[in-house]
Amino acid sequence: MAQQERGGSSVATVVDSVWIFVTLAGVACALTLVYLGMRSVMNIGGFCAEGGPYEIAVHCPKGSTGFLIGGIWGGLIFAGLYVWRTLRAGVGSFVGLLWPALFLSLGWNFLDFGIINPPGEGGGPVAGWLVCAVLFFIMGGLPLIPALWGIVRWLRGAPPRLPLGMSGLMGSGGGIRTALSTMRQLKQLRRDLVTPGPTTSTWTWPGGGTTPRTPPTGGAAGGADVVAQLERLDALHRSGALSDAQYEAAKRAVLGAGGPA
Amino acid sequence: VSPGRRAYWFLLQAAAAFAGVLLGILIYNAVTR
Repeated sequence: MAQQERGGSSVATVVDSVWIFVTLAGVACALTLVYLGMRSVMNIGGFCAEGGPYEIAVHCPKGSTGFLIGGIWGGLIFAGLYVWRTLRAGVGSFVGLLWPALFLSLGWNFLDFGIINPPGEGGGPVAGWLVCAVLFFIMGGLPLIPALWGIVRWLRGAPPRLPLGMSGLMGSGGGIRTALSTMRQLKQLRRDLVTPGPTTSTWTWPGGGTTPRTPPTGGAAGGADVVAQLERLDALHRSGALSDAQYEAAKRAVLGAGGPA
Repeated sequence: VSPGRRAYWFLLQAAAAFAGVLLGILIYNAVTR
């Protein structure tokens, strides 16, 4: 049995490892393609066009449109999957480095083509690109400090934390979780409203506290109501919408009000 | 989580990032050749 559990947990580690490796590699690949695609466009002056009814003065370099659009969307999707899997595995992630990696690499492109190797023959510094370089270095460089500090903290033994406001958005009690649980309850409420017959749902207000939608009735129907309410409460409790104390209080209320007389 | 496991996850992610950059360069070179 213990061996089975160990086997199960090592399988889970392998699955998590594959997910995290593939999704992070996907993000890095997408960032690289955006970086290289941007360089290819800057190399021909910084603007180009494809398709449409007009005569095109500067065609885009081969593949650059796909690299930029695919890289941005692919990077976002892979980054979302990567964050999800690292949270699920309880692993400190490099997600805080992704923003600095994007802005510093693109900022380097602006600096490189703006002053070091301006495009065109005998091209001088390109002021517009230098402004972008400074902005991108500030936007990428400042968050790099807390991102690196977060990784160092995690390596030293602190629990994994998402950078900046992301923990509040995704962690327990955070906005996304509350929104999901509220949506689940609204769906249940709608189902109850369109279903004829006695309703059994218990509405849990986001701030806590529960309101039975209809008072439970006694007898056999009341018994079925009680079971249904207890099941519903259990589901809400397991989903995290109800705290332990709220769950116990609601269960006592259901058992007290609807139990057999 | 033990220090060994933290080191494992750190190295795995560093390797993934490195592999992703290499893959990106390979794809770019293959498409633009």
